[in-house]
Amino acid sequence: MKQDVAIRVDDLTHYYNPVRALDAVSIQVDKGQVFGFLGPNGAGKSTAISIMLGLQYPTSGRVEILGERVSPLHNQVLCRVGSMFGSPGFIPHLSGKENLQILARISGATESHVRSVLEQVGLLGAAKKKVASYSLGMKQRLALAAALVHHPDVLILDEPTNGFDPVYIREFRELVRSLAKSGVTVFLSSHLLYEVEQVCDRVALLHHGQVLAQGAVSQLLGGQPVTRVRVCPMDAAAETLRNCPGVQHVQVGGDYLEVGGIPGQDIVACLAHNGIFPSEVVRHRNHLEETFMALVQDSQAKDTSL
Amino acid sequence: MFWNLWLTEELKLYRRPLVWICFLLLTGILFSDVLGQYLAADHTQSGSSTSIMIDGQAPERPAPSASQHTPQRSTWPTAFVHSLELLRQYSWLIVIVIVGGTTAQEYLWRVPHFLLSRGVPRLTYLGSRFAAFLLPVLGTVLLPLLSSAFLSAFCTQALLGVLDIHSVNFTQLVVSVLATGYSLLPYTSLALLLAIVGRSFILPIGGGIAFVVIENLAYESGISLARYLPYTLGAGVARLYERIPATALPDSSAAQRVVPLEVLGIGPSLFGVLIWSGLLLGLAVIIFLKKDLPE
Repeated sequence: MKQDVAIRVDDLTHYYNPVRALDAVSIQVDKGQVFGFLGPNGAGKSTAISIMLGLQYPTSGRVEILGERVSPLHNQVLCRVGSMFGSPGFIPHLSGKENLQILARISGATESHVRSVLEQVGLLGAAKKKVASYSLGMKQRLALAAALVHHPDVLILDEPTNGFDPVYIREFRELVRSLAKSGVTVFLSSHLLYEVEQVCDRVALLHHGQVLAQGAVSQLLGGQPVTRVRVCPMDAAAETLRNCPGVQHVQVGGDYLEVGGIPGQDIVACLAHNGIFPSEVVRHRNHLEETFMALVQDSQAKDTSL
Repeated sequence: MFWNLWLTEELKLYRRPLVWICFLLLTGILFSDVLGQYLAADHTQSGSSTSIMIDGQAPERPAPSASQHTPQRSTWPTAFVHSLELLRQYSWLIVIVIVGGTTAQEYLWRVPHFLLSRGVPRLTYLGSRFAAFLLPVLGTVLLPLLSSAFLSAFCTQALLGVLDIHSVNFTQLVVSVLATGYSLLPYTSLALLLAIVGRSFILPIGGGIAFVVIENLAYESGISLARYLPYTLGAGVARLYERIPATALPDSSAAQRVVPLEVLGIGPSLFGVLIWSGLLLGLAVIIFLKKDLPE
């Protein structure tokens, strides 16, 4: 079982005295998974990644990648990890290609692979330009190339799409999916919930250093989609729908009803049969953002009650 | 991995204009010194050549003796001794600027973060970085000295009419160059340590200068402990320079100079330099291994 785990974080706690940045964070990412690490700015994502990449000592807790412990003094396994973390540490007076060649030399990658990753991230044309002349987006692409240059088994990406244009964000998603298909484990940290929802199999939601929830995306989104019905009179329609066969729940939400269990055409048929005609019927699926906000509100309510 | 990292560090260093500017600066100091001495000598000789005609004939001018050509400092073999002494006095600053400046700047660029997060062990990173500085440190001595050697060769030919290559003990010259570079190692370790602690230009450069100022004050005050400080130990190592001339020269200012403190012999000085370099580097390693490198 252990062999299937790519990243295991156990009870990770970190203090920037006196502030608690991470509070007993535990995460498990299986091999070949695309794992989303979500949270607003300041939630503790970067601290956790910094510890995972052996750049910081945790106050307590443990990180294992591919079965090997990671700490600032035990980081050898990180040669099998590609990462994009914070502002990329390139040497500005060297070209993009030279920066990658340095990494390739250290990790034993070949010259031909340097060329192929530059092509993969669309930087082949600018490979000989000094990094100092690169735009933010180009630096991010180069950072992605640097993360991929040595054929990593695990990719740890912190806010990878910062600086990417919309077209490249789409290409990036495709790239992540194809890497996952080829068996690479991807750990993707972002505050852009929609972005993560698009590509991740599993997610962990982090807030104030605590994991509020983690699991499969579909599980966190609440399973089946619901149908939103705008109708008048609302109370009578709600009562009618509750008596319809197959309806699992009817909830009044603002100026619409949220109905679960039966498809939209059955809802319309049921209401029409009772002489009620809706003005709008929309199939709606919860997004991570809503789930996340609900969890944050719950957590704040608990904190207040304590 | 160590050698690949070492190669990488060398590549990074020599592609930086700062390193070449520092070499040029030291070369400029030596050039201006040798040239200044040459011009002064040339002027003296021109002046002395103004003679009174006796019976329509100029008196025979005596050939300048070794002690007579004022500026031995611009002619071989003494030019080497003097240039090395100048380098010993100024190179520490250049070493601190190169080592401290480049290390601090790489911190700002997050290069250590970049490499360490890719599985480079901290000890290997720091070790390769220190090893990579050895060549530039030697370069701060060798390159300016070689450049000034050409100029002083010209000066020797011009002033003495002959360039006697055999006047220089080249084996001792090579040993002295290596020893001068070696005596700069405590400053290499110091700059690395201060850059790791401070992660900015200010601490390595400011702290390094302050350290040398304190060393000099202690030496000038005649505090006996000062003889064990790196700068004074360097002066002990510099005794090797006396062996560069193939034949002992009648000198010189050294005999007449009043020194506040007698420096240690060559052997103890070399050992002292090793101890200082090791201690400072060891401290740098311990701090670097324990240091968090957050974003």
